[in-house]
Amino acid sequence: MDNLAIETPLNAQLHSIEGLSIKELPICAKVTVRGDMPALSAAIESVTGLPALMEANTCTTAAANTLYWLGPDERLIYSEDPTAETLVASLREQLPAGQSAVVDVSDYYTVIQISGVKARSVIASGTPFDVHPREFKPGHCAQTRFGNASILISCREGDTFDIQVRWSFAEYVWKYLCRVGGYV
Amino acid sequence: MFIIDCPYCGKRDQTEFSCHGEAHIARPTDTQNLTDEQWGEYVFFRSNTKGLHRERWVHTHGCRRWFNALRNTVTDEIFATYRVGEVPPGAAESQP
Ligand SMILES: [Zn+2]
Repeated sequence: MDNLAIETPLNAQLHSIEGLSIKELPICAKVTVRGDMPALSAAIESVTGLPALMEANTCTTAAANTLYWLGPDERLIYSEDPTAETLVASLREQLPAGQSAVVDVSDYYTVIQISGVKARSVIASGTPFDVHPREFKPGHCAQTRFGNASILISCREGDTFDIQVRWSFAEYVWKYLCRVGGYV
Repeated sequence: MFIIDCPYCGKRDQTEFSCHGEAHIARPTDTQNLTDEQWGEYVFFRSNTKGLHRERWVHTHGCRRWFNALRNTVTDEIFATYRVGEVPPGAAESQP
């Protein structure tokens, strides 16, 4: 399988105009974890070093890992590791079998990074979620809607945002963002 | 358009949610011995309330959690949202 031509749905495209840059990030390991607290947070902390008892709709990064809040008993971990295998194995080792779920979703999603002074306006065109800088700040994330697609959006810094989208919706969101970029 | 207060995420747009009908309907426990009429009652029949209605909602595009809401079916005003397992606001009678 190492001669697959396409590694990510958007083939690492880049769209750049004045005040706006949109690009697909390289693939990274993504793992969703569900289970009862506090066992879940203890396992995540021991494996990633990140505090998992976090406020709703926030994310946090340390070293190679980023942790996202997805629900009261659910977290998502991004890792710069080439595969999720080690991460999945060590999490499963720490969690009670049959009462938790650790799932490799690396290829289920892709991430589009959008940045620049026009970024917030472009995002606001497709989502009912409030992305005004007064409300949506670095370290915040939200699962919401963009057009007809479900997304996970996070604010990395000032005007840089990561939009995680399902593989099959990636082209739709990409075209939507690029098209709107021409009008903002 | 209106804003719904998800008990987990906070205030979000209506289009992130979907409604799935009347809440607090307990599944019968004695399923082996139910008559067709009793099954029909459980599966199909609802109170069809005009006024305050407790119903199940799910934050489909958000945290994907189920919760309950107390909504006026006439005015569409939502008075409260509460987590599954919590006592409905203003519930005098005991609920299943
Ligand atoms: Zn929610």
